[in-house]
Amino acid sequence: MKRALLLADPGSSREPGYGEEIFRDIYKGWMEIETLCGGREISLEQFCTCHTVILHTGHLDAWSRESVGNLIAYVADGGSLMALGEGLHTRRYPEILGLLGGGLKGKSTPCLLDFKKTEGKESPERVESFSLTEEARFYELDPLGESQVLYEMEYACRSYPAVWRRNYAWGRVFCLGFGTMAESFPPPVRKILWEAGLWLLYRT
Amino acid sequence: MKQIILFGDPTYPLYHPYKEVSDLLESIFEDFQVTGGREHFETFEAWDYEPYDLAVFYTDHWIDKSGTSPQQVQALLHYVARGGSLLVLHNLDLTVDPEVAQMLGARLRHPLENPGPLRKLRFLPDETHPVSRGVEAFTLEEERFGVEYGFFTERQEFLQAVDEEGISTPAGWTSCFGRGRAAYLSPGHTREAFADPSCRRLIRQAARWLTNFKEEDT
Repeated sequence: MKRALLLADPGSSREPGYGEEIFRDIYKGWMEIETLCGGREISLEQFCTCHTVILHTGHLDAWSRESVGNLIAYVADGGSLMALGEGLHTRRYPEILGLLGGGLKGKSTPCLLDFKKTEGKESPERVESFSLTEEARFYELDPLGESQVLYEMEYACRSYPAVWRRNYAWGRVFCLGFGTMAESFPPPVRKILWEAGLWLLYRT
Repeated sequence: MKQIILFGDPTYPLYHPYKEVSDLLESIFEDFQVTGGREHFETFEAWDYEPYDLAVFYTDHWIDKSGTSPQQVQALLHYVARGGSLLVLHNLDLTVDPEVAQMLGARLRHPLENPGPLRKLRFLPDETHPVSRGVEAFTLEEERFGVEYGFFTERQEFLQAVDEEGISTPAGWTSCFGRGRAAYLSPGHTREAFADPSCRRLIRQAARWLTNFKEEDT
């Protein structure tokens, strides 16, 4: 059984239909979820006890610099990192955004959004497109990071990266640019996250 | 005493022979214990870097070793993220690897194939940055590299290079990376760079800043 360390915010992680409940449901049978809420000091050893880290917290700025360094070292050494929604934003540690391959430029109020699959060589079973009501979050990818965009969000006749992934030294990083509310996880998104888990952990 | 490991190309130099500058370069780091002229960084594991407070790279061979060494990038990232320091002198070929490019905040547009034309450049230090405080402006014949910058590295520039047409480009900057720090300095194509008093002071102050050097460390 694989093990994931979910870094979440106090309160939200235990909301019905949100937080750890979602991940437990998606990865039922092959990955157990351990939740750490409000953590600021996380050692490298703590990261290394799990097969993947799920960053679903809006409080990265509260982390110590040591924890940031440990996260980077963990991924560089072969760890896996999944970041969703608020976990893709920090003002204090731009190097985390570099690790993730991109960061939030701005956002708009929740509305119905369309997400479209990009062209690529991935599995043909990949979800084609889907819609959901979410905050429109506008991400910018680092041109130095060489990320692979899997899905784009259509907004006001423009496309923005919404789901991407990258290799980082020996590790892998997967980013879902939404996931701020319980409604953000309809079946297509759960399938994407399930496939992301395979890519991260089994190096498919 | 704080420790520096200095990587160069003494045996098979390409464009910047280490042996031509080693005496001048190593003497800059008089406040440190220097292990100089090491060339096999591709064999270093993360723990091999641990005894050193600062790793200095003055090499043309990163790019050709990067494809064959499985831990070359991983070891350096681990070392700096966990509190080590990195100083890259002149050749930015290390940035062929995206992770290193992001750590430094920039990437060489075109890997160095042969030395570009030398240009007379006026280097202007920024008085507000601790690395360049008190350093006087200086002029050298240097290569100018085409560089592109990343969006998610907070680079603090401490040196500008101005050419004869008055065009200014960044020539030195620092960045933070986890618990560690990194810096790049572009002068260093010839022996004259490491003999110039202002350039020497810049490199020395960069090493001190990167390693949080205090007087009792001598």
